[in-house]
Amino acid sequence: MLRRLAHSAVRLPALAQQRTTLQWVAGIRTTSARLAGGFIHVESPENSVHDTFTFDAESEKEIAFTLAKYPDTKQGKQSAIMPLLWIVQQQLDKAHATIKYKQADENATPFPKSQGGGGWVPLAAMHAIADRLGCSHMDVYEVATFFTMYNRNKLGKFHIQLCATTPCMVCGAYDIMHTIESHLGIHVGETSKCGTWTLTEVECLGACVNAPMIQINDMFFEDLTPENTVKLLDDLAAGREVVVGPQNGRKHSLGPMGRTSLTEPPSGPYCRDLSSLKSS
Amino acid sequence: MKGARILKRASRRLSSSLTVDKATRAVAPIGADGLAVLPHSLPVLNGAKLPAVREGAQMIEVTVDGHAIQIESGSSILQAIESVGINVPRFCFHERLSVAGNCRMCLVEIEKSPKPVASCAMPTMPGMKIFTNSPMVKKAREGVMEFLLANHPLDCPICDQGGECDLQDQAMLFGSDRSRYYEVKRAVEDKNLGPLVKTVMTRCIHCTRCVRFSQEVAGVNMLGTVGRGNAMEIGTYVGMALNSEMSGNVVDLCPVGALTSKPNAFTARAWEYRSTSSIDVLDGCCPSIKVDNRGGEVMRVQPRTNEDVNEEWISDKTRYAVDGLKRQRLDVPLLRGADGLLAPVDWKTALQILADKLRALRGDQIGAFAGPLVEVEALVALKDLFNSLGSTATFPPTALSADLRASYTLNSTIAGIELCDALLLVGTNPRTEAPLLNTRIRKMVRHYDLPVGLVGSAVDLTYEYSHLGTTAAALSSLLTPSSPFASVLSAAKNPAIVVGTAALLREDGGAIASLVRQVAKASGAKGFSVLHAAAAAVGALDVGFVPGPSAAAPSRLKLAYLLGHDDLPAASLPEDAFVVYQGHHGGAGAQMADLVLPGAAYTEKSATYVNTEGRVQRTAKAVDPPGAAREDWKIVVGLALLAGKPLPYESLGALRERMASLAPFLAAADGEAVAPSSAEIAAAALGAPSAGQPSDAPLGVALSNFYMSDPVSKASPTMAKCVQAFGTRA
Ligand code: SF4
Ligand code: FES
Ligand code: FES
Repeated sequence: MLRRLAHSAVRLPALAQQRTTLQWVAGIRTTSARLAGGFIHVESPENSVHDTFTFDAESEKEIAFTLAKYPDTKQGKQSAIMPLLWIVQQQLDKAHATIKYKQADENATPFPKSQGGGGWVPLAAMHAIADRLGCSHMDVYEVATFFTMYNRNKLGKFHIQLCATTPCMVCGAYDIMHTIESHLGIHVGETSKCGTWTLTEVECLGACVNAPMIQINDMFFEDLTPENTVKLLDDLAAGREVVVGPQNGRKHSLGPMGRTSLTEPPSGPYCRDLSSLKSS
Repeated sequence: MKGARILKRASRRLSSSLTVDKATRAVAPIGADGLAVLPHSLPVLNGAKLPAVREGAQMIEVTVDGHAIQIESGSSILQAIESVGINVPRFCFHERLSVAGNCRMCLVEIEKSPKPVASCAMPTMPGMKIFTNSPMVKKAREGVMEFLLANHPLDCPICDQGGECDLQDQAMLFGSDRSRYYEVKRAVEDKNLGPLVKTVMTRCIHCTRCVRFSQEVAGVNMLGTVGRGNAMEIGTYVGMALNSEMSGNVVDLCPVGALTSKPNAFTARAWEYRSTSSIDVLDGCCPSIKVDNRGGEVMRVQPRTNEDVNEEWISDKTRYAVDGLKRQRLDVPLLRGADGLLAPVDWKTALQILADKLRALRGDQIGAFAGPLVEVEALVALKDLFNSLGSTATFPPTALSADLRASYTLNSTIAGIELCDALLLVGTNPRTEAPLLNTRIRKMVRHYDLPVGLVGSAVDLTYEYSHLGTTAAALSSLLTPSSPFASVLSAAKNPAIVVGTAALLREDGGAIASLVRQVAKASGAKGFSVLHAAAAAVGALDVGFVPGPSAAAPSRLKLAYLLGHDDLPAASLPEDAFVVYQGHHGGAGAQMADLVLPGAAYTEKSATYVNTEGRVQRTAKAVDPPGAAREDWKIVVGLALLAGKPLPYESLGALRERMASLAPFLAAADGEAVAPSSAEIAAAALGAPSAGQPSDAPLGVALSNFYMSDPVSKASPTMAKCVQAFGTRA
């Protein structure tokens, strides 16, 4: 309660709103440009200091499960800032349930619920987390601004994360980027006017073998070409079924010659038999 | 070679400045290598007191630049190096903040370590060989400096920190005069931290001192580092002002020009100031300050280190209210004419009119009222004058009984709060009444989990405390052993009880005091402490500036003499009373006055003040009083002469002798001698009889507005802006 008093504090006419263009005049692009907004909260109707945030029942369950893993001390609870931010992103990923998809690999794990890739963390949620964990608002801001996977601005329904790290780049990631940009009429870091798309450029997502690739909300779409990218986007927008994984019929990450190694179970030596150790 | 010279110099200075016993005072002998052979465990040479070696601490031997020294195990390398008087450049390390180790300016070489190490964050190990002037260290420092400057705007000519900037100074030592960096520099958006702290964030070197200060000392976790890497910024993220009563200290802490003083922006250069060491009197703690003036104008106030009072912090009121010294000043005597308006008169006329009035009136028709900023000298002179006129109606700023010193001072002392193991606050908000005491308490709560209980309004004190209730009934319940906080108090070996003047000055103050005494007795406390918010309070009680038993009530006075007193309700005096206001600011007191005598403010006179602990200190004159204003004691002495009751002193020295005869401890105003109340006296203060039942009105706090509590701060435009931005903090 007292802490809250301290924070309900004065809010000065947000300098942030009239962001100086200094950074851009100087021609610098820093990592803060991942999503427009930099490292200062920008007041907007959908993300305001005056909002409140409530965790839904699903999140509450997750929070209880998460908090049980940490010591019940002030610092211990503070460690839960990261998972809680992620729980908020999962809660706010509204599009996940609406995506109709089929996996390229029928044995792949399904996506029963959102993993958070399409969600964002409003300021009000950061405050809710701080109050829940008994730490200061600033503690949460620091974590949320440090990690790039926390989206601090409202995203479009579909969050396209385009990998442009070396392997994807040499396989044409920038062609994909330009395709998306011209098809959707947005630039990297922007959200489309209709509120459907947000495009961000990210570093390696670990699917380099099937480069180039993008991640939309929680799902990977690999082996992209400008043509199948446009089709993918159109299908998603129209609510048609999409294929998750390689878009060119590739199985897993097999090369054109099919499986050439690891064709039989490994011959050993295997791990020690721990159960026998225990009994002795 | 340079190191050797420093060491030699160090040992010479040591031998002259140490006040240790003879055995260790010998001049350090020069060894075969031509270097001074240093004695063991040398003190820090910057004049600071040596931190006492902790009991049972293990001493280990390390060598610094070839000299073996003994140092407490667990000390950092930086401490070891400092202990032989060698300076280590630094930005992020600060004695009173946690170690961050992020600026890398303090790199030194350790034998067998392939890389230089950050000396502030690395503990010493037995036998460690430390080098502070090797080629590796030189290269490391130059490298760090080059990196720091690569992204620094180098705008010293337009920077307010210029001339007192750590980065500037250290760049002179370790910087290169040309750059190898040709890329564009990073630019960072400035943050709006409110009316006190100006930011130019592009200059920030990310030392995080400001962040650590606001989290650890000020207790408002509002500043932080957002983002990371090259894009990291210091800020509040949501565009909030730095809402703390201690926020100005980040200006001193910031080693570069990123955080500077907003009210002082672009007004003066560091080398233009003339500094005067003085004390502040805008709160009851009277912290040590440095008054910087230029051309007869007080430009700014900065803290001086005083471990006993303010460590090295001051509150925002102390720091920023001084612009009130230039506003609404009374600089000429004023007399209310027939038209009801105040018009200037000369001193002679003014004093003559007043002297005639005093001659014409009987002793029981005149009374004097002292305000919160009045010094002991003026109080003694005015009291002597009134007594010789046959009046004992001298009303102090806080009307407590002056019989027993232990019953009205902060007996625990400010630094002594660090020794208590349980603390009870009654009817006070130390955050506004004594911000420096509050930071001490916060320190103890943070580091030692000091249990704090509060009876009074539940305010945000920046630390956790148990709120025991808002009325005096909560005190009575502390007398029942079943109450949880009562058991905390009685389990404590050295509990302290701090009572605010708001609780004692109420009508039922006597009853509350007696309840507090009972609680103190029950818990085995050595007495209780009174926290005064006014600097004049203890001094007035010390010299007996209190109404005598036969003193006339204010409502029967024909002449009221307001000595810097602005809060007297006009209704408490009769309509036809002649009101004299002597003081430095034209506030409420001057408005109701028929005669105004312009006095000097605390920066314009050498004046004695006794702080809430009973510590006797003196201000120093930094500038002249404006216009015809005179030092207050001189006005009273002149008036006495005209009134036909000359006072037996005409010089400050003689007046101070008179003060010393009233209260011997006033003789030495060195700020050292807090006469400690003996256990018996404290016990006697506990034994005073009880007086009636306390009412069940909630206990209030002494200040209704932290930022505007006295004539100076009420006239300060900066304080007005603070009230706008932060409210009154009541
Ligand atoms: S603003 Fe100043 S004190 Fe704060 S991190 Fe930057 S350089 Fe350090
Ligand atoms: S480089 Fe794009 S996924 Fe690894
Ligand atoms: S002073 Fe040691 S790293 Fe900053």
